[in-house]
Amino acid sequence: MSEKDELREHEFDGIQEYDNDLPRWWVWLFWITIIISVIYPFVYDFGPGQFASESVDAEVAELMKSRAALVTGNGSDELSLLRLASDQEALSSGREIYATRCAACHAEAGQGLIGPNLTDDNWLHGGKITDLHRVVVNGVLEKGMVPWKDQLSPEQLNSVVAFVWSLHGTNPPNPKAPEGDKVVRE
Amino acid sequence: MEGFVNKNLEKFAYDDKIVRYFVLATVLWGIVGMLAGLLAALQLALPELNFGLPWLTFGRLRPLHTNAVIFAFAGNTIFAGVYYSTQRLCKARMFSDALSKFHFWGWQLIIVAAAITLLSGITVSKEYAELEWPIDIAIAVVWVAFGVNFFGTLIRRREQHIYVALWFYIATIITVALLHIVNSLAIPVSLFKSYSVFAGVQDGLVQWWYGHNAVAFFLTTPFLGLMYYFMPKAAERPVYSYRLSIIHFWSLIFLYIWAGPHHLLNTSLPEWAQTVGMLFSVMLIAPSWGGMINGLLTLRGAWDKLRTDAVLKFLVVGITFYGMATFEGPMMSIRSINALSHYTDYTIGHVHGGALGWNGFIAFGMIYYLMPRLWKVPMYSSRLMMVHFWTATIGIVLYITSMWTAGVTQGLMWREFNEQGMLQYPDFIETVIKLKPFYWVRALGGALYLFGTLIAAYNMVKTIAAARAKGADLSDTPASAVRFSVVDATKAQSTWHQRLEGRPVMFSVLTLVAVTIGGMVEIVPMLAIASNIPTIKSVKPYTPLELEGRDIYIREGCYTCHSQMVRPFRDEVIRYGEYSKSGEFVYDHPFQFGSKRTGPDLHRVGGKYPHLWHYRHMLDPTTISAGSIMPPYPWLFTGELDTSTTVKKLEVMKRLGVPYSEEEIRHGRALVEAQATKIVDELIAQGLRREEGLEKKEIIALIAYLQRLGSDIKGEVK
Repeated sequence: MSEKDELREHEFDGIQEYDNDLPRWWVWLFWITIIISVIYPFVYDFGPGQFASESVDAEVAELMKSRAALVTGNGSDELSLLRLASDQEALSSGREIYATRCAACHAEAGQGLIGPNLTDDNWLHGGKITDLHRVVVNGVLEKGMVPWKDQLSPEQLNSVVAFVWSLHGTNPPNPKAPEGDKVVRE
Repeated sequence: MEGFVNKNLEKFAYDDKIVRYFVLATVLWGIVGMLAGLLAALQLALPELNFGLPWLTFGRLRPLHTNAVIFAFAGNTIFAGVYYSTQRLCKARMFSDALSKFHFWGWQLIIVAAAITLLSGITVSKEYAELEWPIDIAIAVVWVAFGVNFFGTLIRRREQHIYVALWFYIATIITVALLHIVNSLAIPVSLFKSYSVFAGVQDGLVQWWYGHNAVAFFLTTPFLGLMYYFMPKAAERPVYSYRLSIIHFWSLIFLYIWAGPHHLLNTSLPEWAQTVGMLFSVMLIAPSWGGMINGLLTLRGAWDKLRTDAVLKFLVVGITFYGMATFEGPMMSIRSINALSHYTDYTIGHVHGGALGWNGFIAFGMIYYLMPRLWKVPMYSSRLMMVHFWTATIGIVLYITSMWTAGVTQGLMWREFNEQGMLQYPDFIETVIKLKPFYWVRALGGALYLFGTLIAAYNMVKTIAAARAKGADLSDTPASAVRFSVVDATKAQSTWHQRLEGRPVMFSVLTLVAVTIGGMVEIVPMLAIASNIPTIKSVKPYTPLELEGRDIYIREGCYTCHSQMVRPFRDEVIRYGEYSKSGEFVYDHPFQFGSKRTGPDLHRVGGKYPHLWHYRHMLDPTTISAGSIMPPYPWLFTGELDTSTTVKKLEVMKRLGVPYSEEEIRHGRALVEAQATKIVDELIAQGLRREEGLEKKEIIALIAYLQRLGSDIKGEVK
């Protein structure tokens, strides 16, 4: 950088100015940003580069595909789920999940609050353990039941279903009135 | 020449009194604004600190904080500096003492009005432009008075050429007027309520054209002007490079105005506008650094003064923070980096590097320079100035490092997937709880900074007391100068720019041209070309009840913590649902995209939960979401919905192009009642105990709005 430090003739309220050249690196910096700005649109806006809005659908589809591959044969058939419902390890992990995810709506002991009572004999969307699994996985949007498939792993889904299944007949205090059809468990 | 009296020598006096007023107002409002900021910061760590009062809740306090520090603290700083330096650079008293007084008192009244209305929930919700239309008009009037006073002084100047500080003042006054007027265009519903004439993506673009350039032309250009005056004055060294001043001034003001869309990167704003915003931001690094170089290199040969001179300490560190923030800004404007930083506390750290470091330190450097000159006694304590400097510096460092860390942490948590292809942190609250320690550190940093300001105030009070005790002569500073003759103006050797510096009116016209181009190129096509916002047939106007609910959402400042913009990222689509489309917002006067996610995005919240979920959540968020830092809103459960302006609101919306039928407008209130009754019935069905008059409460309208959000295209696009 050339600093000749030549003072300008002018003076403003005692303030003087040198008329030094622009620092070379500064000029380069400016040019580089300008060149980048000229090239960028030809790569992205008019070129092969993809914006997030153009690639996101494919990315989500791919994610779903890889997740679907994981989900097949994950032990969510009726027999496996029922077996899980008496597995202490599964139940205790299910209890934890229930406390953080489900209790806000179904209350701590499953007696129902925003969502229905999970301890009585009545079920809104079918009374089999596979129905319960289906509801937990996919949700029931019109009733405000959130799908959990994006937030819980297949194992977690199974254990929370097993735990809820085990709540039947526990008769907690302050139960919400029964909703749905009475289902007698075999 | 002894005894020779130039008969052309004119005697006059600088108006220092008005400068003293502005200096005092600066510090007073600085304390108020920082206090509001500190309380808001503490509320994020400890929500109970709103004391259950609607007007102290974060959503209302945050706009007060931003408005107070920008327009009251920085604003009065600017005016103090401009009034002091313009008179001296023009060798002339301000054009009109009456206008000076009008400007001062008008501005302070506006600040008071702003504080009262914002805390009352009277807001248009456009960030840094929240004030309702009557105050907007007052701002325009006072600003024009300031402009007349300033340009009048320029016209009456005795110095032929205008110095670079004045160029920056010119750009400030012209551009702020332009931004303020366009962004505030609205149709009133009542004295305290109006709807923006723009909607959705267009409104967002206009807002951020304004918002970004409020930073550019309220927090940057005027402060550069102050720097160009006070830095060489305090250092007693010549400015480094005149030609750098020219190049960086014109490039800065021309490029800055284009950069607004970088606030809307990866949103549903058309990609071309995002690209323009991003690239012009990147190109801004050099022009911004031109100012930093000219400021810092002015100190060449006088660096030793830094050790002892508090004024220079503040100015130099302020300029350094400017350099840091103007590098960080362009980086954050790159799409991929913005994807991580946006909506997080990173942005909060960035703006506070600018506000506390650059604006605050230039302000205090200037004040410490001015105090002895305005009150004619030395500062009461130079020790305290040093204590202020170090306390504030440590405060800033704690503030920005905690917010950077919080921002990157949360940004990474949001997007992390586990090996099963699931979000690692599917519950938003997990990412919030993680940030609480950082919120405490930030509050500590802010408290230190405020403490420094209080020390400054104490030091100033003592200084003024000393001036009083001494009986210092505070009458206006006398000066004399010879009026330049126009013949001088056409010196043969002068360059075109030097000639321009002798013609402030032409200079101002060229400035106006430079700052108009960028905005026009972005905004006009966005308004005029329909293909920018593809129509979605299923998107319908809000029902009257939803519209009322939306106005409650605006009143409570929900947008200060919640976005309504799902970005086209894999993690956001999984977390929230279909990403947002521009066509979904066409009836949103004003837009509610938000700029920060202290809580989750809400654009797809409609229909996600039952009404009762929202009911209980608004009553006490922690019962639904343990650890939530959202405050409860009990007053929505007791306050009755005011439907006295419902019909008027629908009429205004219709004038703005929202297709309500005459029938709907006429029966507006009946429609409100009918939908409210339906929602209450549904709430009862979900298990709520029936309460007398529940359908008349505000909460029902808010639930109606929340349940509508983003639901018009549900199931259609996927």
